Amino acid sequence: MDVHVRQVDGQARLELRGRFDYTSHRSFKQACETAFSAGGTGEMVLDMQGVDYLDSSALGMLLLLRDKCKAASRSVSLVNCGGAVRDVLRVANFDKLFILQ
Amino acid sequence: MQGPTPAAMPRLRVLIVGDDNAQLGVVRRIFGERGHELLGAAAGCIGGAMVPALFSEHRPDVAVIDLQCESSGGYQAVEALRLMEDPRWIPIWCLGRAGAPATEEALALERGADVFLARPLNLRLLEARVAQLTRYMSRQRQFVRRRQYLEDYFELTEDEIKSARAIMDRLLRTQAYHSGRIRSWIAPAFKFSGDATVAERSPDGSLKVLLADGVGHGLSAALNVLPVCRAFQSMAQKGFSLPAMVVELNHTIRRDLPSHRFVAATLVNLDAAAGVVEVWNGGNPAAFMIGAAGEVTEAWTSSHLPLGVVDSDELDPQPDARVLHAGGELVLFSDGAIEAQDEQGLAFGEAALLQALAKAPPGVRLEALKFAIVEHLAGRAAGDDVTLVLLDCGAELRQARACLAPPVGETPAGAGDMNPRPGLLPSVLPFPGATVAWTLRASACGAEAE
Repeated sequence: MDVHVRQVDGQARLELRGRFDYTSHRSFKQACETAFSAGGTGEMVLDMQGVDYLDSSALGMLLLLRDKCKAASRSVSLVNCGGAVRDVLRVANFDKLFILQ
Repeated sequence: MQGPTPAAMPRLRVLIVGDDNAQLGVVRRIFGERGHELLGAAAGCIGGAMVPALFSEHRPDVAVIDLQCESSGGYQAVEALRLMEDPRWIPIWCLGRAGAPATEEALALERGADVFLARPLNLRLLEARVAQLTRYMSRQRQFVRRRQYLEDYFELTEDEIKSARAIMDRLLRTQAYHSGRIRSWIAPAFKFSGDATVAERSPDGSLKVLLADGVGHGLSAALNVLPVCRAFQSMAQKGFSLPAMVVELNHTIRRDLPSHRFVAATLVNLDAAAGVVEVWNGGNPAAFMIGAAGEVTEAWTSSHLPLGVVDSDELDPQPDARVLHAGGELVLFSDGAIEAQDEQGLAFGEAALLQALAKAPPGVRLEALKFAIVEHLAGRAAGDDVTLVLLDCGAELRQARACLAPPVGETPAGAGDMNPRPGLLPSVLPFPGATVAWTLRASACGAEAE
């Protein structure tokens, strides 16, 4: 999976592309570190448009990000969730944890 | 455990093939002066016909073949050496003939030689070649040692995995259930399954079933579901209610597992005597009740977060209870079942799963679904663990009614097939060969079985 990090007005935007699964651990972690190191305080937005698959390991990574954001008092939202991604998030009831758009 | 240590400059075993002559003597001297071991030196010249035998006996690091000597067999010796089986790379050096045509080097290389030394020898070049060879061989020995280390490590790890698996199988009883009432299929994507199913009978005769899917794959996922399954087994045996179990399992994960190693779980309480089935689904695909004609009569979609994501007080532990109508098979499956991909990357999907169930008659639906998934995968390995569980609710109902009915004089419909041998109630064990002590509504049935 490729992750592109952009900073806009203190808001961090992570654009994810490809399969978001257990092999994405390193790239996702690095992207999160990059996003945090910029020192913004605004919302953390994950753009899921390019994600075609999401597994349970990816859900675990999302939870880790949520904890980090919580500690930094930043909100997390997932945007542009496609059909397959939305299904996985819905089955896991992650709409109770994240803002889904 | 530590890796192999770097190899020191090696002492090479040099097989020299050819008559005793001045030029070959120079080769011997250069190798000898640098402390390398000369094979066949004491015996003088070595003929080509002996090369394979000598090779097998001495396992040289390098062979030098004098193409000038009749007895060396020249190119034939080169070819014979090239055919020798050895996991190492064994360089073959050829010493050219005096006044040989310019094509000789190409010919030697074509037959399998690695280095060609023209006659008369250039001493400086020869020394440089020997030094280079020593460097190469030092690296090669390092590689060989590393490979050996990895092979040993691999073997050891395989053994450990095998024994870990045996322990997990015992602890989780991950053998599939094949009894009439509970049938299951688990196909791990890796060596360990991150999916597990547990079926236990509670003291009141109700059947408790868990389908757990630990985050991730392999051993770490299997380790996640282990404490969950153990806690479930023990609580089910003691007759705890589903809400109490949900809270405790969630607490167990929060307490014992690293953060975010959550477990998607479906808990079922099939209480045939009370005529209800309760399902709590946190993060698994929907559970379905399939009627006699193959139609979906009930569905329990995931309405909770998986276990271990939030603290227990943030969870709603109340199951979704429905009336247990006559007949029906309750179907549970992990996401691996519907995400199984065919060659084109197309997922099997819930619709195909329900269709496979609908098409098959009751009793063989698990096999039919298994077949449909295997066919969809078309020989490919599933990307995730696949688990299917089918519960025959009709059989549970019949048995419950049989147990509640007056035993004297009349045999309730359907009871006979469940109890072929009087006094051995119930006839169904969770899986073959298991000895599970359970008490089935002892007061109502007046019978205890083991």
